[in-house]
Amino acid sequence: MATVEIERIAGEDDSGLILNMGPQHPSTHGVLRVVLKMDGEYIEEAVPIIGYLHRGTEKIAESETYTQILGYTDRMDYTAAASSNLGWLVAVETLAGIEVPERAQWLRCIVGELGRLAGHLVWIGTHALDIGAMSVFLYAFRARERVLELFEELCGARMTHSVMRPGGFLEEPREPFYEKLESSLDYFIKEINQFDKLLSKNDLWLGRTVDVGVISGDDAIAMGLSGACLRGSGVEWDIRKAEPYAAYDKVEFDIPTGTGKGDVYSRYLLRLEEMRQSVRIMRQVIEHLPPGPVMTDDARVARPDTPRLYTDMEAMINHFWMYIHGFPVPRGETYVAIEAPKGELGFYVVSDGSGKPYRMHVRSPSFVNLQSLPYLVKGRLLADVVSVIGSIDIVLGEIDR
Amino acid sequence: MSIPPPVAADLIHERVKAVLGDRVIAANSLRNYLTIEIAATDLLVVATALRDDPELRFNFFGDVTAVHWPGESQELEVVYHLRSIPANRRIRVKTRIAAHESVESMAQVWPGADWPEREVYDLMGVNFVNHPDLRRILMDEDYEYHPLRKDFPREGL
Repeated sequence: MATVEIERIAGEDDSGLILNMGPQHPSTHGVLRVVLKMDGEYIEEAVPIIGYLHRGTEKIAESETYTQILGYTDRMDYTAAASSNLGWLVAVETLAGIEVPERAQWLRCIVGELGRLAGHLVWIGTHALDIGAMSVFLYAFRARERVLELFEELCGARMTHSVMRPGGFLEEPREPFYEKLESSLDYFIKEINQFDKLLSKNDLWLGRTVDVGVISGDDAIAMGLSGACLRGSGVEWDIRKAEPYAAYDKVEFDIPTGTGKGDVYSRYLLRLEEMRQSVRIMRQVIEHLPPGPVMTDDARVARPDTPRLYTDMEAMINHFWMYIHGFPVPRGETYVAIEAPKGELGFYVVSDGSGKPYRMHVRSPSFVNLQSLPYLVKGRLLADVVSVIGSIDIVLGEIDR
Repeated sequence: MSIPPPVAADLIHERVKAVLGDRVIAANSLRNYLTIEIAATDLLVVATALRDDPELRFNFFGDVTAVHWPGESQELEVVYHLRSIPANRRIRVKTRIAAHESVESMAQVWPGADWPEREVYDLMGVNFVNHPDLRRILMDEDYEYHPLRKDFPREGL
């Protein structure tokens, strides 16, 4: 895949050193490959090469029902599957005009924020490990285990859980989930403070992150960066506030912008703060969680009750049709974006009126954010490539889809 | 700089009409999402106008994709999703082309369109003129097909 790249950036005179990084390099967070043209220890040109994990999700989606696609969205951003699920469901519900009950909306905030927490904990662990702070990695994965246990309590699965459904949730979470969640929140804050203590004023950490990979706010907008990469440059922008979905318009939280300088350190600081805000959101949700059903009674998507399924023929036909052909979605198109841990995750869905989408397109935040890598590392040291990749926070499952 | 409240949809709608005039072939705001359809030849003018107009300022290139409608004379529909961070509004710009035609690259207006356009070129076979570096991005460089076209089978090539 990369022979053309190597020939192209080597140029006519074949000067400089061409260095190949990845696709099996641990600091590239998956199967990202970067071909670097070096001048000594400095980067002259960087060319990211992606596509090693391309599974054709968008093509597959055209022959699956809307509910089945949910499982594929899990495998996009697999560190925070809940956010991909949520993005897809909000898109489908917008297109089909399905109302989600109030309680499910609030619960979705919990699931979304747990996903964000899991994603950010993987990010801080691997990012710190790349830069050489081994112990942070261990603490972060210990804390993430707690998040995964919560997911396990919620639905039985840990990483690719598809816990939500079009129209709400499959079932009401059991009581131990709420107890465990409540008792975990203080633990998360304690852990986050520990990362803060270990890194934020650490001389080695500052040396590797401050003024590295700088991008100004205007450049970040022009380049299409979203999420922490945009906020790190001082642009206060969060889709949870700009176009609220689920129950985000009913909870209070701040939008951290780090130091606003647009360097790796700023993105690091703001993600730490984002984790605290996630915990803050979850606290509010637990406090204000309204009673009621978690699944809509819209017959298009609501599964008939099991006793009815075995006694009532209409219910059985409905159930069969729903699972084999999917529920019909009216003709039309929609684009819905949510604030995933990585940035703006958008789903563009075109329906031809059947139970399967005519076209489904994912605007994945990591994909767009990664295109800024050549700009961010140009003229910097080789070691900075590692910290910049870490700070963009990429997941290859989402980039290649 | 905090997040500005969204400008009223009607105002944006009116302003887009005023700025673009009869370049807009069709417009609707179904599901509260302003959608305009334009001719492919007007794309660069429209994009620059939408970005530079002081009231609209669609400064954020959200996404580009294409939809294949086989059997129609203009079978490829290129869809852009733009966002105005100052006005907190979004707009969808659509244009139709035949399979052999090309569209201007939006990377000339928003540098962020670079990779998304490469993806559309790769998977859908839309040709973007004046793109800085139009190569395949997800598929292998000597791959011959555009897999997201409807005539490409899901299995058994």
